[in-house]
Amino acid sequence: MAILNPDHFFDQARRLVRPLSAGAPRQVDLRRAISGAYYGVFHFALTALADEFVGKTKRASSRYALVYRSVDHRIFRDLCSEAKKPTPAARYAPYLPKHGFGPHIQAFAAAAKDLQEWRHAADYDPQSNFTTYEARLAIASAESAVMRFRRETQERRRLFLTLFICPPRP
Amino acid sequence: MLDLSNVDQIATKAAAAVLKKPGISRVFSRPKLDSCGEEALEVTVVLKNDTADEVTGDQALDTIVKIGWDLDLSGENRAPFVRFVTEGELEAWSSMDANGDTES
Repeated sequence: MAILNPDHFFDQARRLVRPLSAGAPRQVDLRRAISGAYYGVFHFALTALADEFVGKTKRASSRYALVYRSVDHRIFRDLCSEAKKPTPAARYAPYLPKHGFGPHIQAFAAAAKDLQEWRHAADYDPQSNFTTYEARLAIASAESAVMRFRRETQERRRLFLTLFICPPRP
Repeated sequence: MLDLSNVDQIATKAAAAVLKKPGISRVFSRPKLDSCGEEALEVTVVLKNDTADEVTGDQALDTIVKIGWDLDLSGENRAPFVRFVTEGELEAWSSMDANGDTES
C-alpha cells in the first residue's frame, strides 16, 4: 500500500504557487495547491489512525487499508469541529483528559477544518478567487498543523484518533 | 449570532494579538454558507504588503484558533473560516479577469 507522505503534498503545492515567467500563478495552480495542502493533512491523519489501530508494521495488509479508508471527509470535519472548540460538546466530556484535547490537537483541528472548507471552494466553487499569498499560507499552516499534532502528548493523540472511528453518540 | 461589526471587532483584536510582530492592516468578515450548507462566516485578515512574508504557518494557525475561540466565547455560533490576503492582493481582486487570473 502506498503511504502518502504529507511532505510530498506540501512540496507539490509549493511548486504550484511559484510565480510563472509570465506573471502570477494561475487560479488553477493556486486551487490545486490549496487542495493539496488539505489532502496532506487529511492523509497524515488517516495514516496516524491506521498506524495506531493496525500498526506501522502491517501497512501492506488489507486490514490496514480497511481502517485507512474508514474515515471520510465528513467524519474528519465533525471531529475537528468539536476538537477545535474551547469546550467541546458534552458527549465528548467523559473521554477527554484534563484540559481537553490540548493546544496542539486544537490547532491541528482548527487548521484541518479551515483547510477542508477552502479545499471544497478551491475544487468546486467557480465564484471563489484565491491569492498566491493565501495559498502559500495555507501550505505553511498545513505543515504547522502536522507538526503540532506530532508535538501533542501520546494520550491526547490516541484519544483524538479513537474518537475518529468511535464518535460518541449524541 | 453577533452582528458583523462585532465579529470584525473581535476578530481584529484576536488577529492583532497573534500577529503583533508583522502587524495587520485590517480584518473584515461576511456571512456565508459553508460547504455543508450551514451558516458560517468568512473572516479575511489583511496583512501589510511589506511585512506579510514574516507570517509563519504557526502564527497563521494560532490566528485561526484565537479568532475561533474568541468568537465562540462571545456567543457566536457560526463557524469562522479565516483567509489571509495582502493589501496588494486585495486591490488586485478588482482587476481579475474571467479566469480569476491577474496576469496579462
